Amino acid sequence: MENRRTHAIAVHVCADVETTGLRRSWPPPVASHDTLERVRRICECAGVPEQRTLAGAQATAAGLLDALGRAATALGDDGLLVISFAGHTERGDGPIETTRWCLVGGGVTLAQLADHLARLPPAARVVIIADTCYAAAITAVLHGPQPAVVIAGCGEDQTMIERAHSDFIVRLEDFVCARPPGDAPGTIDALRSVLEDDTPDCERPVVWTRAADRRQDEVFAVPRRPGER
Amino acid sequence: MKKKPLQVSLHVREPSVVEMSVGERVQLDRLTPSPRGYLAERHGRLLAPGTTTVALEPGHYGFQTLSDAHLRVVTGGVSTAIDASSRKDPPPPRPLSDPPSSGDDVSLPVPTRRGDDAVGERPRFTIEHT
Repeated sequence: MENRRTHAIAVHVCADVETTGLRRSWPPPVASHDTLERVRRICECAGVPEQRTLAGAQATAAGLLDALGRAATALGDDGLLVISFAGHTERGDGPIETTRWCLVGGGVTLAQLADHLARLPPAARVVIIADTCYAAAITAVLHGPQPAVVIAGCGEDQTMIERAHSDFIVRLEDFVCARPPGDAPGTIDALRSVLEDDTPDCERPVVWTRAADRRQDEVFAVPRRPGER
Repeated sequence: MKKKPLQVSLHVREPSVVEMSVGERVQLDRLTPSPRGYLAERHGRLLAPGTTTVALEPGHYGFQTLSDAHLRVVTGGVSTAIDASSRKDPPPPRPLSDPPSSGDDVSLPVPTRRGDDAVGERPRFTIEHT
């Protein structure tokens, strides 16, 4: 089988059917499809050529971990992986790494996600878009060497109210897509400012990156073509 | 002790004026029924820390906060309930200190969330009728 290396891959998880976590089952979030459509457009605008969607009965833990495993093999050494999740999250009573994204047939823990992401090429870049409760909890769990950006709908100890659409995803789409062709993408600081502006204290989006990853010219989610620096 | 959100539902039975006292920036949502339950939609500007006077048309509203909150009904008729459940599928919310004559509704809609309830201390909510 050909082992083609690609410079950018997106994996979208849309929990648009009943899902389960550790303790219970959940109805599909009202905004999950809207979020899926928007994150797909965001990735198109950012130039991500390969997008895979796990929705309906495919939105399983095994499906997600398999997709991450495939990305680890297919992604170029300094490629970009975008993961989006629209669904429910169970925090439970355990340590933060036991927090679960709720999926069909059972959830996936943030520890499992972090372990699989750590298997990506060390210089690969990761962008996680989490439209869920406790969305920023993943920032406390990531342990791989890959530079990572987390764009979360709320803090690690916050919950999101059900709405017809997620305001932060709408703003993110505007930030990435509503700019003249050829314009440089905005910086992470600019994105943070746009997403946090005019939001309540107990449901505030988070834009996180490890301080060590930061460069002065950092931009959001721009895939590098092979040989490009 | 870590705080967890206090979720308050309001049923405004007639045009009313309330004073909301909050300790942080709070978003008041209007709750509208949909085939998949009540959906929240932002109502007006964010409430700044302190006391804000708000005029409300009849309907269902809600807000969540991580700090203590106080509601004073200046005019009109408002019933309230808090989501005191520890999990996302709550039993009917517990009515607070509305006078019995005010027609408290024990089945006020509660906006649903995208996750369960974390461990923590819930802020206090009080209501006062004038």
